[in-house]
This record gives sequence, C-alpha cells and structure tokens, in this order.
Amino acid sequence: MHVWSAQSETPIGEIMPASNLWFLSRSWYEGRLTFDWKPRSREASQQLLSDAGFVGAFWTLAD
Amino acid sequence: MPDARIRHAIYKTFAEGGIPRTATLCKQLRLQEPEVRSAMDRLDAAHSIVLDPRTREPWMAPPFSSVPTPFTVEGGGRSWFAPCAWDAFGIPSLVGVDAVISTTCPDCEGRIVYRLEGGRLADPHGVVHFGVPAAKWWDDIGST
Repeated sequence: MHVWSAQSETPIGEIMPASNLWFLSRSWYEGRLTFDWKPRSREASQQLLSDAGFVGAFWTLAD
Repeated sequence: MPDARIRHAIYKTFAEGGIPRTATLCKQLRLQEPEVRSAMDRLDAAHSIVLDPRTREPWMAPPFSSVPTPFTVEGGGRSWFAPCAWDAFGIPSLVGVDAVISTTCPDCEGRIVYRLEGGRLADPHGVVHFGVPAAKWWDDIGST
C-alpha cells in the first residue's frame, strides 16, 4: 500500500481490517429502506464507529 | 412536504436494482417535477441523498450509486454499484441478500472478492484504506 501511496501521491490515511468495516457497514445503513428513516445524531454515528473499532482523531465526526 | 415519500421511493428503486430518475419519481408518486426537485434538493442538503451537481438527478443514496464505480455487489438476482468499500459491505445486509462484492486492489491491481453469506462475512481478509478523516467526509462526498 505504501508503494501505491507514493506512486499515486496519495497520503496514507487510516488502514483498517475489512472485517471491521463489514461490522460497521451493517449497522451504519440499518433501516434506510424504511419509510420513517431519519438521519442519526452525530453522537449515535460516533458510537457506531467506536463499536466497530474506529476510534481516534481520524474518526472523529464533524460537529 | 413529500420528502419522506421521495426518499423512500429513491431507496426502494435502488434496492430493487433500478436507477431512480426525476421523471420516473414524478410518475410513480403522481407529483409535479418542481415539487420532486425541491424535495430532492432538501434531501441533498440534509445528506440523506446526493444529487449530481450538474444534472441534479440522484447520484448516490448511500450505500447505492447510480453511476458505475469500482465496487460491484451482486446478489438475489440483482446487482448494484457502491460508491466505496464501506457502502459495498452495507448493501447485502440492507437489502437482505447473500452477495458477492468485487473490486480491484489499487495497489497490486489484483481482483478482490468478498462473499456475504447468511449475514456473515465469509473468509474475512484484507484491509481497507481510508484517505479522508471523518470530520471532512462531507466537504466533498464525491471524492470521499
């Protein structure tokens, strides 16, 4: 990945196991197909990230 | 306001393997075009959907994309494009199907395949790179 980063001039951000992302994605999109879906609060989204292991400054959502 | 009806119709169309378009939404919901466009603008502003900046047609209703991307999801006799790996993983459980996710590694250019079976990720492997910090995701969601 560092070779790709250098060649494409793309800075490395964060690297996470795909299994963590799958765990997060399941809960992140839950309920989107229902009629009454409403956007989550920032705090609820931050908790979902944390529950899936996405913690630290890089994963802190905008206010 | 018809926002909830329109948002739901957009997601339902995507989930069924279609591509939502303003003209189709007007016909389907028996609404006038200005009403649908105004509602979609509000949904876009609320980050519920993303409109194409040029055409103002639905571009993304996360985790779905109306345009081809490097992330494909196939399952239940349907197929979808996802804007990113995160979204690709979200589609099978949202739609309720076993699925195969395919993409290409930007580093080695090898094919990457994940199978979602019975609500589980079969053979978990690999890593995902995130280039944009969470605080900046919506600064330019098309690039995120």
